[in-house]
Amino acid sequence: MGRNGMMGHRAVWAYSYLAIANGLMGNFDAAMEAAGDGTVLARERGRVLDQVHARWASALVQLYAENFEAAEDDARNAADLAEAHEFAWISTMIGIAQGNALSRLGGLDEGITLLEESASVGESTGMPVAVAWAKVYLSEIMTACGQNENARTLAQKSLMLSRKHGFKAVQVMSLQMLGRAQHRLKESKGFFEEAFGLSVEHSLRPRGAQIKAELGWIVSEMGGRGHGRELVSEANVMRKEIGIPVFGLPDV
Amino acid sequence: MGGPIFGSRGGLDDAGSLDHEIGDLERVARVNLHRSYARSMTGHHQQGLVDADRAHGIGQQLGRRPLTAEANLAKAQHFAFAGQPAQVGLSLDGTSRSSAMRWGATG
Repeated sequence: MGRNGMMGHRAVWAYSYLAIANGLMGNFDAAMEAAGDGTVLARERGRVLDQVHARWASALVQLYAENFEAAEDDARNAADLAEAHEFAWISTMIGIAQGNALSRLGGLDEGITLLEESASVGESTGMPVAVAWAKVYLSEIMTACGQNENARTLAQKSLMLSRKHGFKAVQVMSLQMLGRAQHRLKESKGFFEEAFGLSVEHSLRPRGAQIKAELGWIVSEMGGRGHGRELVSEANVMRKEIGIPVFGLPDV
Repeated sequence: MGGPIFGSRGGLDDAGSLDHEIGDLERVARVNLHRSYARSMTGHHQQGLVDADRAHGIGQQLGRRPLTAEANLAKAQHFAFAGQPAQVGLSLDGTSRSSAMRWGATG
């Protein structure tokens, strides 16, 4: 633990978890402040594992805030340090963040490779948390590429793992991806509704806003244009409140 | 505390002196903490939280704040990895910067 240097300094790790938690909830100012404080403290203390941990947390916050270039930059720095010092566990988790950021920046092949490698390492070393996160992000990429069958298979796997182990954020995302990858609007709506309910229960506001907009689009497609528009409008209000640009939401 | 902890509860009950028992209890708590951290890394959060709770209980029993604080950090780690952000703040006894700085003071 902290005393023998294996687990890093407690304060740095506490900052990291505050940053990740605030990022997941959409409190980005607090998240970035905590990530910044953790990074500075880790550098002052001079322990490499702490520096890797702090940068990984910072990459996650930037991902949640949809600052993909900053996320990739933080993840790359963390990955370089982790690789140089053979920190295997956190390297796998960093690979997931970096793969996701790269795919958002247009580096699909490299992003997919990193995510698949992370899932594979997670499977071979007994890290369901890595497998679940990697597969749900891969599913998200597949939905963006229109590969709905692949997306469904990946999301079903991540959903199964998330339910088994209690990975709530992954569960929300898996349901969202299943919603995106359905052929029938009614089935999509059911997945989005379940995903949105869970996102509210666990205060996952950025993801919840996205799901609400997608639900609005589905409702509109099913003939409820007024209600659909209302849902998208509410999603935009949520995104404005948490500081994410509203453009790019499905048009109703 | 309850439940099997490192298979050593009986040994602890037989300990001859209070000092010896306190020393063993702290060691048991640390074993639980190590196991909790390891479980957070693989994603076995339910069992890992039980481990952290045991360490927390021992910390309270012994009146050792650093131990309870570290158990809280282990819990926060589980909740962060599990994507349950609201629980992270609760585990760290508030989400303010001063909370994290207290970790610095005790670490």
